[in-house]
Order: sequence, then C-alpha cells, then structure tokens
Amino acid sequence: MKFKDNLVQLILGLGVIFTLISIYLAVIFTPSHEVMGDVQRIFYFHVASAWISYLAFGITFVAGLFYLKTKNLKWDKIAFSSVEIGIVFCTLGIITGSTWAGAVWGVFWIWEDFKLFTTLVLWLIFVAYLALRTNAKSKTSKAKLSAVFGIIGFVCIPFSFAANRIWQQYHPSVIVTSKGSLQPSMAFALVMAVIAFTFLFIYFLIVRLNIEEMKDNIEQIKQDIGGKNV
Amino acid sequence: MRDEILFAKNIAKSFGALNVLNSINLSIKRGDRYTLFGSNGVGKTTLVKILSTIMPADSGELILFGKKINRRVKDIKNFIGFMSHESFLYNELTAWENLNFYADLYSINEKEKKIEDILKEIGLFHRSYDRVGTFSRGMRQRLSLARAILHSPELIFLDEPYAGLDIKAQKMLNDIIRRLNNEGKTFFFIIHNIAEVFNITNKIGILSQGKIVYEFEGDEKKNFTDKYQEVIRRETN
Amino acid sequence: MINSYFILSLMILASFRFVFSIVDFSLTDLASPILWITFFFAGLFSLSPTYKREVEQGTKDGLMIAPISLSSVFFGKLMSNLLVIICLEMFSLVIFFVFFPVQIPDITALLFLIIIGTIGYVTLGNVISAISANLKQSEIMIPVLLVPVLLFTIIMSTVSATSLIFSGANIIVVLDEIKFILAFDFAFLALGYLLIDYILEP
Repeated sequence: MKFKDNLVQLILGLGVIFTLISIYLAVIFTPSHEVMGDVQRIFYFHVASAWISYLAFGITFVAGLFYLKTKNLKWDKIAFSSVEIGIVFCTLGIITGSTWAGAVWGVFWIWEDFKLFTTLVLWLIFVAYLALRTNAKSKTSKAKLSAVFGIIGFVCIPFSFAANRIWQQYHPSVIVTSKGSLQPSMAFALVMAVIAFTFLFIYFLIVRLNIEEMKDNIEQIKQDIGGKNV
Repeated sequence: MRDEILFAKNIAKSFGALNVLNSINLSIKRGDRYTLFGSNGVGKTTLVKILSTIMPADSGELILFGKKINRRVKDIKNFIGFMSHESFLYNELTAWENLNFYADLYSINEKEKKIEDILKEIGLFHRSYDRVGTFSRGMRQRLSLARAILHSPELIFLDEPYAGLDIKAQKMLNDIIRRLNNEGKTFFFIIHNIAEVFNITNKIGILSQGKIVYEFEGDEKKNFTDKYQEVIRRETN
Repeated sequence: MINSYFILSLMILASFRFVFSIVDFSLTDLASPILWITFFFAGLFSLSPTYKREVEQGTKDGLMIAPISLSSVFFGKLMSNLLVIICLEMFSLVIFFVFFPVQIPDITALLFLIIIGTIGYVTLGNVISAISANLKQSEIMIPVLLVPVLLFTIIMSTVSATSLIFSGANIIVVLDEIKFILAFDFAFLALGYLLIDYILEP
C-alpha cells in the first residue's frame, strides 16, 4: 500500500497543529480543577492516550478478521503496526494515569479503578501479542495466529472490564473518585487532545506501513537476485 | 471409459512472498498409477497436501470424485488415503491401538477383522501389542501404510513410500499396490528415484517452477530421462 | 505421566504452606487465591502437551485428513483435559484441607464454583494451547498468552466468588458472579468452536 506523500505530510501537519492547540488549551486555557488543582491538566492527554490505545486494538481486531477471511497479508501488516503504535499510547496512558493517581490519591495504583485496570489488561494483551509474533514459525502462521489471538484478546477486554465491575460490587472499598464536573472548556480541550492524538496515530500507522512496504520490496529484490528469503 | 477421479485446474499456492505452485493442472482417472516427480523443494509435498485436502489452495479448482472441494468438505476424506514421511502414528500407543484409533475416526465396520488382516499383510501382527515408539523406521513405514489403506480408500497418495524399506518390505509394498490397483484403486506417488516405480506407474508428471511441465503416459515413459535433463537445465539457469 | 501432575500440585501446595508458615496471614482470606493458583499452574502443564504433542509427533495432519470436523477434535481434547484437570483439582482440594486448617465451607457451593471456573479456564487454555503448539518456545508461550486474557476475566471472578464461600457465604450470595462465570464459559466455548478451524489448518 502506498500512501501519497502529500497526504501523509498533511496528516502529520494536522497532528502537530492540533497537539500544539491542545497543549495550549490544557495548560493555559482551561481553568484549574476545583479539587485537584493544576495536576489535573494531565488528564486530557491521559484520557486521549487511553482512548487511542483502545482504538488501535479495535483496528487490530478488525484487521485480524479481514485477514482470516481474505488471507491477504496487508491486513496482517495493519494489525500489527496498530499494536506497535497502540502499545506506546497505552504505556503513555498508564504512566500519565499513574502519575495523576499518585498526585491526587497518594497511591500510584488502584485496582478498583476499572479504567486503569482495563488499560493495564490491554497493555498486557499488547505485550502478549508481540511475544506471539516473535515466536511464530513462518510468515503465514504468524499472521494467522496473531489474528486469532487479536480476536480473543479484543473479546476479553470488555470481559475484564465487566469482571472488575462485578468484583467491585462484592468487595466495596472506600475510594474517592475525583471526577467532579467537566466544564465545557475542559470538555473542549479533551476533544482537541483526542483529535490531535488520532491524527498522530494515523500518521505513525502510515509511516509504519510504508516501512513494511519497503521491507517487502527489499525481500522481493533479494529473491530476484537469488539471495535467501529469510 | 474410466471416470475421472481427480481434476485440478490452475491450482496456486504461496507461502507469504514465496510462490510455490503457480498453475497446476492435473487429471487423474480411476485405476491410474500417477507419479509426481521433481527436484527437492519444488513443492511436491505441498501439492500432494492440497490434492488430498489436507491443505487448502490459494486459488484454482479441485474436483474429487465429481465433487468440488472447498473448506467445509469432510465426507470425501473417507475415500482418500495418505501416507507421508510423517507416519501419523502415536508413539505411546501400540500398533493395534493406533490402527484402532484411525478405524474409529473413519467409522470402519468390522474393524477388528480388518485391523488383524492388514497387520498380517504387512507382517507386523506379531508386534500388535508393542508400542510404536519401539518400532524401527521400516516397521513404522509399514504400519503407516497400513493406516493409510485401512479404510479402503479409492484414491491413495504415497509420499516417498519406499524410503527406509528393505528389499522384502519393498516387495510387500509392491504386492499391496498391485492388489489394490487390481481392485480399482487409484494411486498417486511422489518419488525421488524413478527406478522404484518405473514398472508400476502408467503416468508420470514432472513438477518444476510451480507447474507440471511434462507429462508422460504409457509408452512415452521412455522419453522421461531426456526430458528430465532438460528440466534440470532450465531450473539451474 | 498424569501422576506427575498430582505430585506437582502437591509440591505447589507444600510451597505455599512453607512460605506462609513464615509470615502471618489470615487463612480465610488467602484460601481462595492459594487454591486457584495451584489449580491454574498445575493445569498449565496438562494443557501444554494437548496440541504440542500432535505437532511434534507429526500426527496433526493425520487428524486433518480424517473425515472429522476440527471442532470435534477441539471438543474431544477439551473433554479429556477437563477430566484430568478436575481430578487433579479434587486431589489438590483434599491436600489443601490437610495442609491448611481452614474452616470447611459450603462444600457443594465450593465444588460447583470449582467446576464452572475450571470449564472456563480449560476451554480458553485449550484454544491458547492450540495456538502455542505452532509457536517456538510453546511451553513458555502458553502462560504468556493465557494470563492477560484469563486472569482478569474468569480467574478474577472465580477467585473472588470462592473467597466469599470460604468466608462462610452460601451459593445464593454469589449468584451474580456465578452467572458471570457461566457467561464466560459459554463465550469461551463459542470462541473456541469458531476459531479452532483457523488455528489448526495448515
């Protein structure tokens, strides 16, 4: 798949612009949170990172389904490129969430916070997915087994979320959930952050796919001149 | 006019970027003893796995016993026998238990009698209750053949059946092939050393660079050596 | 071979017994996790050869060429696994009560929970075992792939419900959790049935 250079540059440009906008909004424009103070500002990027990582895995899931149906390797490339980039956003989301939790609640981790919990599960599934690919025996089996595991993993995300909620029901603990109300300006800043990260994600995905395309070309050249196709 | 058991048209298979089979066209009639010949790694085992429905092709048409083969097909497998260099035998089970297991998979009637008969025919009846893990290579090969023909398949694929067999076992194999062929069974061999089947086979195909480049029927067999040299020459260029 | 599994679960429980003799702990709180960790890890070793053996011995194609549906292979292996692992768990349960002087809870509720939890994790374990059989380092890959999808779904629910039983609750209290676990069981069975064709096909 070749993407027009102009389009790619445009997406990068939009991503950078929106990121700058959202940084401005997050740091300067929005008011301080009534309870948490300035520390809350990280919230915009934390939530955006987490949502993008779920989007990434959603793409992996759909691409996996298409691969199993069509056996066209391009779907596999989309699936695992999405995981590679998604795991970065997921790590960012967990780190920012943990930092925020530490600043607000004094502890860096709470099992009862289902969002943090489910994002950790997602992170572990990403890691497992990449481990699977490292240990695959051939290109086709790699693609096929990753697609299957991607489907299993994706289905288990809402399961984990639900399991955690049920568990909370049985083991209630006193936690101060610090949501408060979301003022319109904050909501706006959040939306901007999400848009910014979406563009960045798409940009990174396209670049990653282009790299894979180049790798394929190299392999094809190797085959043509008689090198061993490793 | 013998009926056509196997019809393959434009079969293609690739593994990732490596295109193994390009456009395979084959027609095999009932009672044929077809031999597939070709250099190492050219794709013979891949082709045979596709034709015996173990592996699906990427594209092309395959018709067995008049039925079009797709992913869901299951009943056709009752008519197919397959023997490869993997013996399909469980090392922890005895010879009898192995054959019994496959007899159950194929829902064979009067399985005890059939298992006993075939063990006697391949000369392993006295080892019925020994674990296959203790068998020698030749014995495993013979038992694998027994497993392949236990359910009286109409079309039998044999991948390098003579490998590892001593003279006595080779003769036994030839006897079995002759007997089954007289009963109307069809054979598909993959052979390295053409001398092994030259007298038995009635049709030879040479697989090279993803296609069946030459086919010889009946008397044309004598042209085989020349044509094969040609093929090798083309492959090394 | 099966004897080794029993000895393994004995060793795991003995390790827990030893470790917790050094530290103070509340037995009712930890009973459920100890039990389920033992079940899970001992069970892992039964799951591993289920599909790996077929690949190693080359008998996988033998199943592919037979006139059977791949889902019947899946269910067959699943049932044999369940039988072995449930026996293993019953044995472990007895050893557990011997090692740890915990108040005996509602036995029917406990057994019921163990069985439905086991069905869930063995089902998904079988699917993952089928996937891992085709990978390098298969024994390591099984827990690597299984933990993220299993631990936070069915294991968590089952451990939590079991711990409630150990604290003296009866089955009515954990009804919601049970419905959940049954939903997981069903979902995993459906996943296995749908995906096994793709996993086993060459």
